Amino acid sequence: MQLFPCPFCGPRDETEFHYGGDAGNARPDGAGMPIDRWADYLYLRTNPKGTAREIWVHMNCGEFFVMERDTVTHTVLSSTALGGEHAA
Amino acid sequence: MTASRLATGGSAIDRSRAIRFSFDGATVHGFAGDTIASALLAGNVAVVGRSFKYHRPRGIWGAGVEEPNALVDIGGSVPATPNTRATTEPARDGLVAKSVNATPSALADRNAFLDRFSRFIPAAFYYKTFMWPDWHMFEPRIRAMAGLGKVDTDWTSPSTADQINHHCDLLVVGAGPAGLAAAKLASGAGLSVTLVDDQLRPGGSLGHRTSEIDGRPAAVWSEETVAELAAASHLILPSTTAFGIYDHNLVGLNQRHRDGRPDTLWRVRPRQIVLATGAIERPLPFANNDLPGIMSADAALAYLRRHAVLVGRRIVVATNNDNAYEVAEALAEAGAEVTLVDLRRDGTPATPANVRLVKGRALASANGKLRVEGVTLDDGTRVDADCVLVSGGWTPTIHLFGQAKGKLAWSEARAAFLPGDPVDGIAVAGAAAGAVSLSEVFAGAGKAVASLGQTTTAVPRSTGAEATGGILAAWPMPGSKGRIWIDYQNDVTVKDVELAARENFVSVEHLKRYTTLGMATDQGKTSNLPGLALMAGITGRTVPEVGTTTYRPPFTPVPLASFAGARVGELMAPVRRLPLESVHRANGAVFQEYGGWLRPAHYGGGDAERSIADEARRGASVGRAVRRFDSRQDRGDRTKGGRIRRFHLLQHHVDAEARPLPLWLHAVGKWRGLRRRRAGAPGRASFRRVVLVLACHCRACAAGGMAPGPLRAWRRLHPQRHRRNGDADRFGAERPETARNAGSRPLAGRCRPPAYGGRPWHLCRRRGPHRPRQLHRRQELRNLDPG
Repeated sequence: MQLFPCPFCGPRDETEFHYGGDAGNARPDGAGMPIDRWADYLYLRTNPKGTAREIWVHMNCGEFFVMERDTVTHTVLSSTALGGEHAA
Repeated sequence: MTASRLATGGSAIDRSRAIRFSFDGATVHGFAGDTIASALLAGNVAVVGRSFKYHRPRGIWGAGVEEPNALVDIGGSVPATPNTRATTEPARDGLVAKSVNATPSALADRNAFLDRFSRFIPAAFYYKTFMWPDWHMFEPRIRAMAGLGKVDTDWTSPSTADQINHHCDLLVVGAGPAGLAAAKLASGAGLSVTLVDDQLRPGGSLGHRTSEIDGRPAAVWSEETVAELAAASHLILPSTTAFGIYDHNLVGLNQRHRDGRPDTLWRVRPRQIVLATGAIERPLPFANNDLPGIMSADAALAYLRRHAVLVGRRIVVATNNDNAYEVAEALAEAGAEVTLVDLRRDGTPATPANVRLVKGRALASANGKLRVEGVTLDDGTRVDADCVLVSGGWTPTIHLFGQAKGKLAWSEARAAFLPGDPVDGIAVAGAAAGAVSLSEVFAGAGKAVASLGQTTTAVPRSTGAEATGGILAAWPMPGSKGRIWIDYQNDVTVKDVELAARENFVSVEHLKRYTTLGMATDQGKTSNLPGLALMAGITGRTVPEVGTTTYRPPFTPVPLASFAGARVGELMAPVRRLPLESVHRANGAVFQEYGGWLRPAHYGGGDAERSIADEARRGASVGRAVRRFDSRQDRGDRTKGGRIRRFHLLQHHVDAEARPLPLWLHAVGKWRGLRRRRAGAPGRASFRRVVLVLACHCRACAAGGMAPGPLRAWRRLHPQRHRRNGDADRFGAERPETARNAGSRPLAGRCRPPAYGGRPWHLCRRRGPHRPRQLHRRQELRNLDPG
């Protein structure tokens, strides 16, 4: 079981967290957006081998945050609350 | 073999407390502190089981977790447990032990004839032979002939297993010299220490090897150290095996109890770990090296010193390393007639007193039928013996290090894999790290604790004679004569490995699966390294080039009951009930379980399919209400909707004049057909009837189409066809084709309307929670992220 650092609660078991998708995958704006762009946003994921930036939610405290971790070694590199404060 | 109990000695046994248990129907006497194996040896029981495939007679090999042969099903006064290692299971009064894979008993097994046909049943024989007409026709008979212990399916535990979560600064695995020293040093540095050991008593090799620490006998030092640690309120767990290291160094412990309680599962989250897991002695390759009476030399010494059991009167000790010399000396001192056969010509330690030493010779074969009666050396000399002890070198127990993704490094000097680059938060010490002498062990323990960032003071000193690590590797050779066992428990011989190599299963992982080498309940603790060294020899590679199979938990078998803990019976999959269940029942609901939830399947009893269809038809008269309901659903994912969000309401406008479409047609999403009908219909005014269908949101159901989540996205892609507002419009008349929507023909071809490809929810057979995906909130949050 992995240990994820919640920026608010500290290190907790992974079972308390829920995945929220890639970080930085911004939703396209505007009606005239081409279909490809929408398809990219919805369906394409980079699935990197190595460092990944992801959004997670700690279900116990309900906070969303960005976590950077290595998908090969499962090392957690950083975890930052959305908005930038509370870096852990 | 004429093993016997000596009149005096035995550090582990309490002669004032005699116990009695049965093995294969015969009574065995022992003392408190005996294991089943030591009591059997004391009672001169040679054959304790039959091998997995050929039903060969097998005796006790080791004195610990590595035991491949002496598996017994136990019951009687203790919880019924199959495939227990007799070498680690304490003997208790009233215990009933039965040998595995033997009918009626290990000594007189009905299927022993199979061994005569062994020539015709090599590795993979079954899979090649019983292909036609169908393997499954033969499988039950074959499975009944092979296999190990029997599970008593009627037995239920009177209590549930405990599960404990535990935190500490340092977890020390193994309470041998390295573990005790590391624990002592860490305790001195002010850390909270948890010390676990799989033996009944801490001490490891200090319990039977002669040595002196800080001027005191090793056994005294280890007892003092344990007492010291206990006094400093560190947690010490004997009879506890660390069976696995999981992500971020979560360690699973299996604690066994002697009072009949089920095993306890510990989940330990230490800040740091010291692995002082020791090493396991390897067998030597010679023909018939699986006969009862052939044992690990170190085990024989352990039985002598701990249980006062002398394993034979005329003993041959075969070795390729220095460690067996102490064993030979001790056995000669205890009154046995000992012949020591050393593979090495020179570089050997001094010949022990009263021991006949034969240098530069190996064993060619062991002779005997139901027990070993003698050996033949490679020069043809025959030596009579009632017990043969072998020491083929030491395999460090690096399973946990391997599980933690540690890389291994081959050591030619030790003829073994040692831990390579360090893993974060884990240090390896003692024999597991390749140390031989106590000085090396203590220096290694000091270094291990220091490597975890702790200052160490007063490292224990070895003040007695030191063990030496001289070894000449003796691996099984291809083309050897006779049947040379590599994996005792799964009956894999040199010839099987050669066969695998001939058929190009040369990768170590393929070798394992093809021959079942190392796949038994002992997971190849004694056999893996000889097996891959042999494969290296056959294919002309070095041992590190062949590599090891992946280390996976568990290190020793762990009962499922301890993983289940309190979640048994009704609690295994608790039924979840709706808050309004009584209201539903009052309204005549017929309940069914949907993924753990007890929900109304339909109302009014009778045939489920018809009731739902009726209800759907009745929905026509409440069309407006339904539409409102549906539009609320559409927003439901974003606002916090009620319980009903678990299902999605589909709303279809169907031609009032046409026969109502059968329910399944809506459910399986025959949208195109529907649309075509609609396209041919006169106009919007005739689409009056509303059919209500509940569509299941679970992934299995949605697999036929797209998941419900992307529906809105799909709509966004095709705004012309499905405007977001105005649900009445959504499935309404065909909108005129304009320049803008010309390119999007979503209903034909690959972009099907999403979501409702599955079964109607009431027909869903999935056993998971039926939860709609909540994409929206997260998607919006994602937009907040500046990166």
